[in-house]
Amino acid sequence: MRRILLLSAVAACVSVGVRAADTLPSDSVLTFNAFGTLGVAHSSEEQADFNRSAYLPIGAGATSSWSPAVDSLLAGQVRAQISPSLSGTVQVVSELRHDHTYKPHVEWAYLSFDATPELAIRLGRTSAPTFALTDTRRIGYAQHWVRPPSEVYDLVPVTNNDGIDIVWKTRAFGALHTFQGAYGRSESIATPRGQPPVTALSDHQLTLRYGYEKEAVTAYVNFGRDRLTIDGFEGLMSAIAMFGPQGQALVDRYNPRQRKGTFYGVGGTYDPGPWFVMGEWVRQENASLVGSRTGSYLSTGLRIGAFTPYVTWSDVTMNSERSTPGLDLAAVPPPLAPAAASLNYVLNDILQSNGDFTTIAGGVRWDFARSLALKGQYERIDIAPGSWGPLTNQQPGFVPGGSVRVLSLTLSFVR
Amino acid sequence: MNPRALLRSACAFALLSVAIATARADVVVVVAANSPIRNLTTAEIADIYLGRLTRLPDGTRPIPIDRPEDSPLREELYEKVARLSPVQVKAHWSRLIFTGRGRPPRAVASDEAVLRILRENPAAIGYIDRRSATEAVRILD
Repeated sequence: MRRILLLSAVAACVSVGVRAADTLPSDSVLTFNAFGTLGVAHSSEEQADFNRSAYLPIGAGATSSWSPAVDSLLAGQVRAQISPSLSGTVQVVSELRHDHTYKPHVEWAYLSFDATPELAIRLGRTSAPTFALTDTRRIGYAQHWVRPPSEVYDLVPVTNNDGIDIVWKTRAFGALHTFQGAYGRSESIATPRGQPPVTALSDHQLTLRYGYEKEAVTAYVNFGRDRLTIDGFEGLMSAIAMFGPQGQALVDRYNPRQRKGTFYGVGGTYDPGPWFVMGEWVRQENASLVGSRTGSYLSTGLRIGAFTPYVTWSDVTMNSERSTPGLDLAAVPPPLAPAAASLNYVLNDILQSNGDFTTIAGGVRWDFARSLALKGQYERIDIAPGSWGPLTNQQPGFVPGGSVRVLSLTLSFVR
Repeated sequence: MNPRALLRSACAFALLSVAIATARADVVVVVAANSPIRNLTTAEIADIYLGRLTRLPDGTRPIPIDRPEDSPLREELYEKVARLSPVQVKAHWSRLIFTGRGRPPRAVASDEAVLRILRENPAAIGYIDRRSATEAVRILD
């Protein structure tokens, strides 16, 4: 029944769309676009890897002093105009994956019914409008910096939405207002901290975004919720559950199975031309061992001819507990105490590794040729004592906390 | 060279510079003479070209006609109406294209092609060199 309703809604939109079509000779039926970045990054930390996300297996540092795996990617997009109001889009991205390969994956694949130029209903896979730049974070050419700060963009690593997405644009008070809503599910494989791959399933995923654009001002408000299940913790949880009611209480508190998560944020840009400033503040909450955190950044830059020098400050702070007393060793049978102690250690290790860190970055973008941008960025990441910061693939000699310096060079294009 | 000759050549050079500057294409935004589109503000023209304004208060859906990326007129237009460099315009559209939130206006190569489209589409809006304007178009100043 639900499917029939959906189909009739779609059919209604298509027929409205046909009537609204303009008389201008239509442009090409098939359009191809591409973007990409070729990059190398160097990290001063040799006992762990730095990457754009801590959910990636390797990066610069322990694996190799200079790594192309942090920023390099290639994306191609094909869009087919099926009728004046119906189009199909597929975007394929090749970038470092959980299995250490660059095997291309389908990032976007949807049918769009443009009921009017202001209303689009999309079915299929889209990128959830989680935070201000979530759906454009890969397009290096569209940004002044090398990559958006992971303090904000690594908080919700699940960014796809397999389902429905509605975008409605309207104009009032001389400004463009964009309302976007997405509902669906998403499954992804990640290697948190370089650990063996785990599958994260996010369902009942609802994301809402409001965007405001007027001349030099752009602003966003985002809200989302989902139900998150991360496979890979079953062994730990069933071992803890064996310790009776106190074990079960810990499992109820930390087990990442079907846990409600919420995220919300606010951000904006002021860009009069010769200079710009942008910032964002976001909050992510999850009642399991995933934890809750607040991330933010502020970035400003100047445009001097073909050069754009900039500085960025970004920070993420844990809001949930960084440690737990765990199992009460006095209450478990003495022969089992060592086992309970090691479970407590593993649980605390996970909670503590969740990440508290601050980054100061400075760099310059050079638009040296049409559609090509060269960027160099230096950043200093200060990691709170005991935290693993944004790092992955920690080696036995890794000491949590401290300061890491990263140097990145990238060449981005768009066509 | 005596001071007077020096002054004369400096004046000649200054006049020549002015002449070159005025000879540079002067971009004007145009609609068909019979277009329902009345006067637009600079901000409205910018918004039409950036995909932020798709319906005018009278219900007309403006059809912006752009020029190729290497066109000096294009650079001049975006600088004039939005204070955006070619790089910023390209970054703007790449954000919309790769998220499916919009598509750039169709681009045509010549002033004549713009005039032809305007003749056939009263809702079309284009920009040309002021010297190419004919009686068939109305300049939005």
